[in-house]
Amino acid sequence: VIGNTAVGDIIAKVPEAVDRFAPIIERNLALEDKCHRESWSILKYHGEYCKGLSEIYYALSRNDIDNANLALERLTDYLSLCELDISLYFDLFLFVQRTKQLIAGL
Amino acid sequence: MIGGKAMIIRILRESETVRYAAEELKRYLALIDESVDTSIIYSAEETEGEIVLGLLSELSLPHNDLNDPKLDDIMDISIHGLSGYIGGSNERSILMGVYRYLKSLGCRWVRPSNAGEYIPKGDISGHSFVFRKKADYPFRGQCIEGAVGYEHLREVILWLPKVEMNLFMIEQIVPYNYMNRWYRHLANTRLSHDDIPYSDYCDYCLKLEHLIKKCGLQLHVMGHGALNEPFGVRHMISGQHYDVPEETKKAFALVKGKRELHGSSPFFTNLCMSQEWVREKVVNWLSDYLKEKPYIDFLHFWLADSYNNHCECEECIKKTPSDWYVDMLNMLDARLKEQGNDTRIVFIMYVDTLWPPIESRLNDPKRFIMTTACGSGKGYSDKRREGGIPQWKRNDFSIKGGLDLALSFIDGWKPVFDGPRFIYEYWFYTSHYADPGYMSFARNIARDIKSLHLTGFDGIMSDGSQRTFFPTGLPLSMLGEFLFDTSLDTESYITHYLRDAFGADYKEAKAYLEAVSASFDIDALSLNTDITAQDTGATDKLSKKSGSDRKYRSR
Repeated sequence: VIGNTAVGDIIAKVPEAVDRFAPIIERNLALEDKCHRESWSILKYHGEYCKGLSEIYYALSRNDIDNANLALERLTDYLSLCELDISLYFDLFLFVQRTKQLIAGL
Repeated sequence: MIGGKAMIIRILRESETVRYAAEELKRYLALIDESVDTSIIYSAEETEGEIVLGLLSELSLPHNDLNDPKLDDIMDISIHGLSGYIGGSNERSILMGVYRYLKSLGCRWVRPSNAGEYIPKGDISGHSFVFRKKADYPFRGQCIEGAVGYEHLREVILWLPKVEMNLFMIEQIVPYNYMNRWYRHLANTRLSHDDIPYSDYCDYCLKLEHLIKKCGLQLHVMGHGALNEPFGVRHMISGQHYDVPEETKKAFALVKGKRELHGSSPFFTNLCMSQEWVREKVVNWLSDYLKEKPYIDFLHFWLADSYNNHCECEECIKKTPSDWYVDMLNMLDARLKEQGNDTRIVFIMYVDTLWPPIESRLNDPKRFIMTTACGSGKGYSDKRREGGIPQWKRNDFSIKGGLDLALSFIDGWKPVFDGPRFIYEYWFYTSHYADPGYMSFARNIARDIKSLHLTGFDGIMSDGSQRTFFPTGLPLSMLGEFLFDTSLDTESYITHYLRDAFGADYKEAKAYLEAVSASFDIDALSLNTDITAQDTGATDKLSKKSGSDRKYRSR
């Protein structure tokens, strides 16, 4: 992804897509079935995650390593705040380790 | 219950796993149809209106295709109107049969925990289901990885048989390395980094072993990290400091004239295997360990997770590491026979032991299972490396691995061992992060499992985090259910999974997740030096490249 502007241009549109989908998530957050409700709740957190990833990868696509690192810090902090809600579903430790490797061009 | 539908679940054996299977059946039937009034009995006497749970042999069902009950999972189910049987080739297959029957009633476990179970409501008295299937692959499961707490592991282990996975591996004697990352919240900027007492990790480990056995799953243990334990050097986490007595160092491999911890870690340190007392001490320790835990099904006895550090002493150089390794495997096999222990030993074709032994031979191949870590995430084929196996030279390991080379090495081992073998795959280590929507990732897994037969492997040990359900459990569900039945249709599976996970608006969810996956190019976002591209000394290499856990230790 580093220096790949074509990939970056597509990823830059992700936040818009997440926002467009948000009302559908909202209308499903009070479903009676707990499994369905939880699936939509996960998507709500996941939307913010995708927006954060979009920032990181867009910066990388422009060879902007500093901003990629800053975006990773912001996303890590968001995920840290909600980690106890999503801990069964998402491994923050491996994510941070792996994303730092990606930014480092490994 | 007044006016309820009375039914009996009769078990033909009183064991923890079969009792658990009966309780699960009772619990879920009541959730689906609360008018069903179920009782569980242990009896050989037939009654009317019962579902019987038992082994195929106990139910006098055909089992000509059952070769090894420890490995082969066969479900045989016939139920009409709450009357019939659920048979299995082993106790876990009875439990999996219960879940399979419940799935026919519309149940689905889309991810671990109660919040992941979709249980429809309705009258089930007229439901019929007939099913018989032997699993296409006997090894289907996960190895502990990432940062995981007890509750994460507990929920995942309970979930595995619901998606037809049949094994779990707890790596290391106590999986401190993995669990500690969670309890210290190493990557979290907000939570405390305080540790919990080591004794708590030991208690958790025992509880998890018990849970794996309760579910009837194959319990795999150990792997890397135990080689130096018999000498009092315990691996806990990367970057730990060790004061090793000079006497102990005599057991370490002599490399460049020194006997010391390789990379400052027992995890990376090989032994001087030509010394009889060293071999004895390792075998004594392992056999004592199994005396304490005779319930372990598969003991993984591996050498160090590193490369270019085998012993260069004048005795060790008389044989290859693979020859010394096979000698130790034979010693362990003989000792376990003396103890009457039938635990299977998993040996690994890894780094120097990729090369087959020259002289030594396994005395009783039936004791053993082979594994290797060559998962690439780039699909499977039967292609071999052009030019065959490269020349082996002590401590000059520089080959570029890959599936093609691994298959060439396996060909080389075949005169020594041609028994069951499974592959370590790393899809859920880091690859899943490259596709945040999981849709391309899930399809890749299905595609690869459908071509696994080309390799001759008998299944997959998924070495990856147990926390990979963000946004869905689709890829991991497919790993289990497609290894059980490779004929499943990918697109149909995806649609049904998403319907059960999201309910009425599942089509919108599917379109959204497809769009997310399409936006994040999985190839462009994969690591260049992904662990999956390495088949040798993976942990050592990773820690050298990135600092691994060490970057967190300064906190």
